[in-house]
Amino acid sequence: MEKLQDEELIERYRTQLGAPGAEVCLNELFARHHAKVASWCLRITGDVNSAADLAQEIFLKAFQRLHTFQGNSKFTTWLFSITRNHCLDELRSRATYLQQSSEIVLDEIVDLNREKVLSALERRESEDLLRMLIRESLDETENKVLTLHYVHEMPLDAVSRILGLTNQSGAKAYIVSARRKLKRAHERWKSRNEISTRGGSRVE
Amino acid sequence: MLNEHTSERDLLREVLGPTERCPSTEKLQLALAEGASELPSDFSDHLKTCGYCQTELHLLRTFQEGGAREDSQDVRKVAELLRGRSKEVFRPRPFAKAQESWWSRAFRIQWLAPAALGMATLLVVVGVAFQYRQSATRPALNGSFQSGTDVFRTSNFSVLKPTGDLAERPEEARWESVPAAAKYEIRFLEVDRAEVWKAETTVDHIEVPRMIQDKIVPAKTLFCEVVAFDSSGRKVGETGLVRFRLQLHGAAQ
Repeated sequence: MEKLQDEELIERYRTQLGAPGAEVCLNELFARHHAKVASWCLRITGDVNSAADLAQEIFLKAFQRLHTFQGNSKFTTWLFSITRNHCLDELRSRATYLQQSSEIVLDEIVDLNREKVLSALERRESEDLLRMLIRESLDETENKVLTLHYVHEMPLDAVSRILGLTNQSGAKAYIVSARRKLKRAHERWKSRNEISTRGGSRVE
Repeated sequence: MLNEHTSERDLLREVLGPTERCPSTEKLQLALAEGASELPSDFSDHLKTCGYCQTELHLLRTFQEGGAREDSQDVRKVAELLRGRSKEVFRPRPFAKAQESWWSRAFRIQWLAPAALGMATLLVVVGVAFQYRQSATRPALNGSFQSGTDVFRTSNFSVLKPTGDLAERPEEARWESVPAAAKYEIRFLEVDRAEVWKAETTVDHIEVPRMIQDKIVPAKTLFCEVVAFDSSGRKVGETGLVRFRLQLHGAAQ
């Protein structure tokens, strides 16, 4: 049984459904991935008991949806989708907490630096410009931090753990640095644009 | 363009979020697999420049390596707790056993198995004979309504939303109720019929999960299809493919 691939175990589980052997297959399959899911949940929640609760919910969901696994991808990829989606849903359900913590960070950034990077952008530029500035100015980690925090709405402490950031202020430092870089890049773009406009040709 | 965004957060979410060129997680997995250097050039070019896909790839890699580096004591503790709770995960099992108990127990009694088989054969014979008699005495339909073959129709019904051009991402899907339906299967499809989402419900509406909403990017045409089934699993209605699309300036949430 230990030599079987995940996908073969699922096949065996399906053929033995209703017999005691099916549960053995399922136990073996899930036990193989306990550590993966545990490690992920720990990164999301930051404490053992919450992580265990979350992981248990994920395995329950995987068990209930196992019939939808078509074998079009590896089982780990399928389990990853369930894990990630369940964790993100869980984080969103704590939206009040999220909103508060995020706004605090944004306020601090604005107050400390008196930089309204995106407000300035809003007055003049488009999303495409911001995309270009992000692509040209930010490093990979800054990009990931922004994506996890703003797109996936992940709290900063979870972002730090997911990305394995070990600096003192974790993801927050990367957001501050990213916004600073964006402001500088925007100023550079602005001055280039002004020079070009004065020279008679406008840069789009 | 930017004035339409209500906040910096929305603008960043829009700019950093997935585009229609971003592949599914299943396709991203290919980039982690052996021979990733042989990926199609447009796919690998996209991965190099797309921050969203790089993040997704990082998450997938982190997850897949999570088990290999079981070095943290806390991870071991969580895994240990999970092992202890595995019975709770499979809680529906006792229910399944209770459901099958009376007849499965009967079959396990060795001497009863042949008798049960005999009874089953007899029932089949009686059933076939009854069916034959019924078909032999079937009354003819009147005049112009008579046709050469029996046609089993499924009724068609309509998707109420999402349909057409949308100003906002759909938070729920809703359709006309079918009286005979015991459950509905809903699917969102891309124009090449690739499945984006599939779900089942017993009522005439369903919430669209946030992750699916995020996949509905502006200007991308999608189809919604709902199929109704009765309690025996027979299809009793279908909506066909209904087109919908998020307007180009309708992505802000």
